[in-house]
Amino acid sequence: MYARIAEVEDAERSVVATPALTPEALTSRVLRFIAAPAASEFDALTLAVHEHQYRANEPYRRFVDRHGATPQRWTEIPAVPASAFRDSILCCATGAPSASARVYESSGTTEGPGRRARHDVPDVAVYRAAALAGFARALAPFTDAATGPLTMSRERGRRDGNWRGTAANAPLSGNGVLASSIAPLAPTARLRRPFIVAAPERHSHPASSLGEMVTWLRETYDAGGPASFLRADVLDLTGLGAALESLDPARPIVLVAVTSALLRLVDHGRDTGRRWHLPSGSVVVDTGGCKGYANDIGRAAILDRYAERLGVAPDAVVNEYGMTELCSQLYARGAGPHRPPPWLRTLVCNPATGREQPLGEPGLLRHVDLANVGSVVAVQTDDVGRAVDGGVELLGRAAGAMARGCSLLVP
Amino acid sequence: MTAVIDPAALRACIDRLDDAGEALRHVALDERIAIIDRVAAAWREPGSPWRRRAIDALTRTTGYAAAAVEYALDELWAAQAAAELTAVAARELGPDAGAPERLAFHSLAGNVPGAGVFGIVAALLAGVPSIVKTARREPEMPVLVAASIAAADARLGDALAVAHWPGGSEAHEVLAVSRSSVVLAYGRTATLDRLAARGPRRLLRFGPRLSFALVAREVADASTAAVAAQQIALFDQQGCLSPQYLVLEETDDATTTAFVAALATSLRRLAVAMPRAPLTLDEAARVWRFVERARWRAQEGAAVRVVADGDAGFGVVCDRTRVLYGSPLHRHVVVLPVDTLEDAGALLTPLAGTIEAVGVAAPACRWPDAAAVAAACGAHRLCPLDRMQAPPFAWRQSGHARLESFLVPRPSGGSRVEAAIPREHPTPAPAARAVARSA
Repeated sequence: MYARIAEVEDAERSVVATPALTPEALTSRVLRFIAAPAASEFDALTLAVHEHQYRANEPYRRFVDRHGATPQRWTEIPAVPASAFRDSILCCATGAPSASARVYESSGTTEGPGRRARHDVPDVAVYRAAALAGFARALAPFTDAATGPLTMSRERGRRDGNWRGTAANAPLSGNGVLASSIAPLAPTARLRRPFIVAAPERHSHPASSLGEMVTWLRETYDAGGPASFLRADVLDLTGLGAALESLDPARPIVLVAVTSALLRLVDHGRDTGRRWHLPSGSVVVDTGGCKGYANDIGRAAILDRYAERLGVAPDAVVNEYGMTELCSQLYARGAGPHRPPPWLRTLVCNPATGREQPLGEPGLLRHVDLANVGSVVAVQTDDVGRAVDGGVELLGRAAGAMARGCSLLVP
Repeated sequence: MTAVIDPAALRACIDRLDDAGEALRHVALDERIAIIDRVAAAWREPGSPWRRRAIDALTRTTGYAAAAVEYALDELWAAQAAAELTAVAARELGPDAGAPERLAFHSLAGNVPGAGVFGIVAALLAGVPSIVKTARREPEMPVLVAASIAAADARLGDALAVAHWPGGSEAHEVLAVSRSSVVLAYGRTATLDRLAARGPRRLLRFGPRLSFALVAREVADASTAAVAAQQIALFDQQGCLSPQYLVLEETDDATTTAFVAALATSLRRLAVAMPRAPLTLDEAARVWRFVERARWRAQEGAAVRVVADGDAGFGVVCDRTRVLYGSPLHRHVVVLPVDTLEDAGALLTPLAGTIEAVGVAAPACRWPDAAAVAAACGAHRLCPLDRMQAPPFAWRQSGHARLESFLVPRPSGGSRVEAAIPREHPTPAPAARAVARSA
């Protein structure tokens, strides 16, 4: 696997040199990449971001020095453990925070409220660009129901020869993960739709990176839906159910929600004998997995429940995978794999060796995200997944290891 | 693959045990002890077929090295010789002892070799027939133990049945719990809670717990480090008697550094002599998270020192920050330097109620200090460091009396048995016995 990757990336490196860039110039290049990705530039740009972060981010410099790393390609950039965002401030900015800076914090569900991850983003414009462009690639264009919003994108991807293994310059990650197979949104095709939201928003969750993203999505795509039914972490099930009952059947919507909220809505529907039928052409975007829900159930079962109570086919459900520590997101349609956008590449690594796992073998996800230009470009998570044809299949979080005997595992 | 018993067969099996219990109670206690003593002696024989089959089975099912399994078998059966059984029986089954329970149901868990065997033997000594559900991770040992007892004496053998069914099976559990008068539940808290919800008449909980080592400054040297390493490496810290923390009474920083280095050296040697079992992805991830977090904290100036070797499969984190980070197990230990042994009590207060054993390396004159720490933590066992993974039959596992637990409780609800931690006398010098004989 490594040999083949190296060949591809040697070719990439020969295309673009890595000149030293000012932080502003580097940010501009990242923004240009997000707007118009060029796979051949990913390696050089990623290394340039790494070098900038080595200079500007002291904890990161100490981390790189500890590893004695001098990466020559993006797969060699040392990945900071996601837990480091709980222990240190990993930010390239110096001096007083600018108006464009943001600080996001995780919910604390992984290790408790005293151990929240903190992500300092010195220029929120990069996060906004990545979030909106990633969403657009995953969902748009919002066309009529006959065409289907995502089918068109996938077919375009196929025609472009943009699937894994179909083109020598396909934007593969190190282990063959497709960097992006979803065609970018043509701006002229963008249509606003009513949003129904059961997710954090900026005004109710100012420290939530998800809340910020949802707010941007509404500002950009919402045609006047009601306020979120998730307020201060309290879900208004009655209001959400009523909103879905009062929809215009001729007007498709975008339902954006944390997965646990939709599962609770489904349970509420089962308890009360109610079903909802989203207008034809509607799209459901859920995120967060079963965090906050009573049971941990698989994706296929979740899609079945949505189909049963919301009247939405699996192909019209898009799952967003994101984390506080990343400015980019991966999306999966239905039961399909999660696909990163072109400015994010994902490796599946063996935690014992740090090396990439073969295709299909489970491992921990390591993300190399250009949109993290202001913090650290490579983040090693403890999310488990495996590289599959066309993306990454998420398998959960590796937090549930139990002792094989009677030993107590202290958190 | 162990055959799964169906509920109808389980019902018939329990019916037979009811009859066998009557016959068992007609065997005098002295004779029961003598039978178990013969069984134990047979298992200790190097050429014993039971022993050979157990080593083959346990190394295969658990992944533990043969040296570790042999150690477990040696100590398990040495602890069940007549002298020790007689002493425990004299203490717990005196003339005014209550009547034996009608039937015990043992729901085993985990893969530590021999876990649950003391309970099985104790039930027989107390005159109580048993139905034993094997653990998914280690289904072989109880079968061999039952067969060896049956070979020694049919009356005891008839009073013991071993079966396997999927954990959580409602049909099996409801039947076993409803027909038993006492349930011994081992395993995760969720498992214990599930069995509790089945409404047992009596439930003895053997849930997850941890242990720690106390090392006095007088013996904080390489030889004690080697003993500690053995206890850390045995069964890869999967058992509740495995030390996860090592509280080190500090002389100075140089001595502590040397001790940590010696501990790492010994663990590295044991990686060859007694290799660690392969890790699952989740286990490897937990280890990675622990080591990387400690390294990050050290990098950022926290008073933490890390010696870890992924290839050799161990990690030592010396942490002066007084924040108790849990070990991910699999031969990873947190060393906590303290000024005096007495300080350990306050340091470990957050873990009170979860401690099973305290292993001590200290001169005899310092044992009262160690005993005070163990009592403050609510530990059930205080023992020499080199005996941590070799419990005596008298061990009040999870706080339960070994034999009295199988007697119908007295109306007063009180126990005849002294609840204080039994004293396990320190050996004259540590490292009295090498674990990895092949080293």
